[in-house]
Amino acid sequence: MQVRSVHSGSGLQLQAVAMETEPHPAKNLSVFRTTEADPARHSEQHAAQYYTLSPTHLRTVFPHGLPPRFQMQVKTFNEGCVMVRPPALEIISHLKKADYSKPALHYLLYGATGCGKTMSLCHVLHYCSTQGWLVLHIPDAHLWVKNCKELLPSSSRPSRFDQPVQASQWLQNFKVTNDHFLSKIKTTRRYVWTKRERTEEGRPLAELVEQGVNRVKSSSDVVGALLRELRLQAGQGDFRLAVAVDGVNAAWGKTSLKKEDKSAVLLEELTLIHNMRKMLNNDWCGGAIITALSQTGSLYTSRLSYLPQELLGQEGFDKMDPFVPVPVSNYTEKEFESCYLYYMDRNWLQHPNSKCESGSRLEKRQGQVQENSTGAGQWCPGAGRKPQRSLTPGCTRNVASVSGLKMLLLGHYLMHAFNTVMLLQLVP
Amino acid sequence: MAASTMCAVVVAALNRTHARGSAVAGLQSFVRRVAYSTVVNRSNERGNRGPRRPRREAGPSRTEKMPVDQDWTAVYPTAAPFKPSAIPLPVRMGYPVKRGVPPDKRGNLELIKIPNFLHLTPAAIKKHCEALKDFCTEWPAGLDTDDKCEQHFPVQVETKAFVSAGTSLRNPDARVVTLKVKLSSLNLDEHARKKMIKLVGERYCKETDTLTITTDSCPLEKQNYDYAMYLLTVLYHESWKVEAWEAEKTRADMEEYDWEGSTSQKNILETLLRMRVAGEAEEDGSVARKELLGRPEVQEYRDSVTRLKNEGESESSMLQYREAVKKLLSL
Repeated sequence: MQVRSVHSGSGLQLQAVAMETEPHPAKNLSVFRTTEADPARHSEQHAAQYYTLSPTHLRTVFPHGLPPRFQMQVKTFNEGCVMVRPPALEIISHLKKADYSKPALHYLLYGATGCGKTMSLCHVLHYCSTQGWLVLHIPDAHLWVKNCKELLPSSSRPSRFDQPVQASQWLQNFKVTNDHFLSKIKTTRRYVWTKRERTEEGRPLAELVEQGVNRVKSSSDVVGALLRELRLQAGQGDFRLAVAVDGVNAAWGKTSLKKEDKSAVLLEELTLIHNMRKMLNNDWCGGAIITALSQTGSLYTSRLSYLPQELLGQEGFDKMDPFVPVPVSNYTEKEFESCYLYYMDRNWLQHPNSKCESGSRLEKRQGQVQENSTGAGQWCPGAGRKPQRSLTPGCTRNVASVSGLKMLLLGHYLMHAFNTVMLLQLVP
Repeated sequence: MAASTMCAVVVAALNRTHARGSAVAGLQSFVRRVAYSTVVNRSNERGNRGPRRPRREAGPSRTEKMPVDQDWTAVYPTAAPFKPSAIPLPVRMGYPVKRGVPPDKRGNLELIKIPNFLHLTPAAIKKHCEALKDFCTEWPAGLDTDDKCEQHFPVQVETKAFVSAGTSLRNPDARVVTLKVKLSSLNLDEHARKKMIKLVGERYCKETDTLTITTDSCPLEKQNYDYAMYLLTVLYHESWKVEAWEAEKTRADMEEYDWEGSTSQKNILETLLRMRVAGEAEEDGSVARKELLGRPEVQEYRDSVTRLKNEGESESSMLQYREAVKKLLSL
């Protein structure tokens, strides 16, 4: 189905365009998309527009970083489109202006569940990647503190515990993202893994990573060594290091893992977490630390908490301090329209009423906008109620004035398997 | 003779019909007519079978005869159940069956069941006060505002006395004594105040700055009062003492957040020093430290962190922190 042309009623964006250009029935303007695929050139004029990630980038930059629902959306739509939004633009502007001879700065994305923290983080990482930085992305730190079937006592340090499966998986994904760097950076120290295996000084990091991937038993220690090397060498100016951790509140919370004698494992005793914490200190320079909080998946936190101090705890806040908190909120009107148009364009919204034109209005349902960063969207509780009135007195005025792509959405008739129901009810 | 046979017939009829409603009504009206003529034999013939008092029709209710300016305390001098004919109010109570209206007051059991305070109208209270005045003294003229009362009498003692007529006059609940005092009216310095609050724990209310001591462990009210006064004295004196182990107070024991010496201060100093060192040559440590701490951005940062920790988190305090950090790191 072709994108609606300018004639047939317009949104805020379409209206702006209509005033500038001559309406052309044959030419299909997708005003919710931008052709600018380079994140470095994104600015406020691209706000609320979707840009497309190229398939190579999707494979290399985000082997494990995207939220699972967004991955499903990418598969369904055959393209990965990310919306340009203010939080990501703000961090990118800071990164552009920062001085990399000074210690790394912390950026913390926080906001309510489902508002778009992970997607903003991915946008920033895409920028870092296109600028040639080395991206160290820990997609979800919560996965390292729970549901670990194999917890081996560490061979190098007696009080610590290793997580071989998680570490080796992460190393594999790291290799996919940063393959080109691994041959250039050399180790500065000799690492002894077992009696027979060691990595000499001056070997490329690729060997180190191979060691971790092949010998799963020592993979956690390999991760520690890798992080140490990157920390030391980022300051020397050859490359810039972007440390991105999603769900960073896992580093200072509690685990649900138990030792063999059923006592709880402390976070300090996990090698991976210990090394991650060292990375999050700002005692190295030549890069940035971009993190995002996450309540979903966190242990022993209230579902409604989203503010930094609540989720990080006193300890986490003190360690991250001073950080730049970047709030991420729900979609604005403009962003909602963009998202809506995008779904229409992708044939995702198929109810006849969702396409019906002038004479109807886009009804906001009591502010229950669920951010669609994850693609398939989430069912809004309360959004399933039918609207009390289908046409309001203001409609006739709208018909005459062609003032908006205002459509009537009849409650839960938005069909698709995952029940995307984002309904907005405009207060007249 | 004829009357007695008629009564016998009536009795027989009664036995046969098993006293059904209509039969009884009819019987009653019949008996009424019969009763007037057989007034002598009535008690003997009936025996003990049910009341046969003459039923009078109710006259107009008292409410119709009530003047508007009547003395209500005469209608309800004491606690009494609800009498619909004596209360000139069109009150309704009950469930409106079948979308109807709540039933009216005549014969309404719900109104009788509930307690009423018709005997405690303002006029009645005034009368009580007038009667009690003979047993009271004048309120002191100098204590006309609450603040003056607070200033001259900071310690407030509450006791309850119970009056009931029964086999025993004693009531064990009368022994409870509650002592309330504001800490601002006590002579306490900072250390003593914090120690006092830690000693009393739950008994201190932060919003009203009131210490409440409730004693009920002794059997008599006087004993409990003495005990409460003793507790107050002991708390006061103990909070002024400084013990040797109080020197081991850690940051975790502190009542509110103090930025001096906190990890936040340490972090910011380290960060700023590192940023400086990266730019310029190293300077003398303590001088640089003092100078850094004196900068306005650092002051602002300190205020925002203190606010975050003391007042808890909120959107506005987070935004304030954000602005302070951005200025500090010159973003």
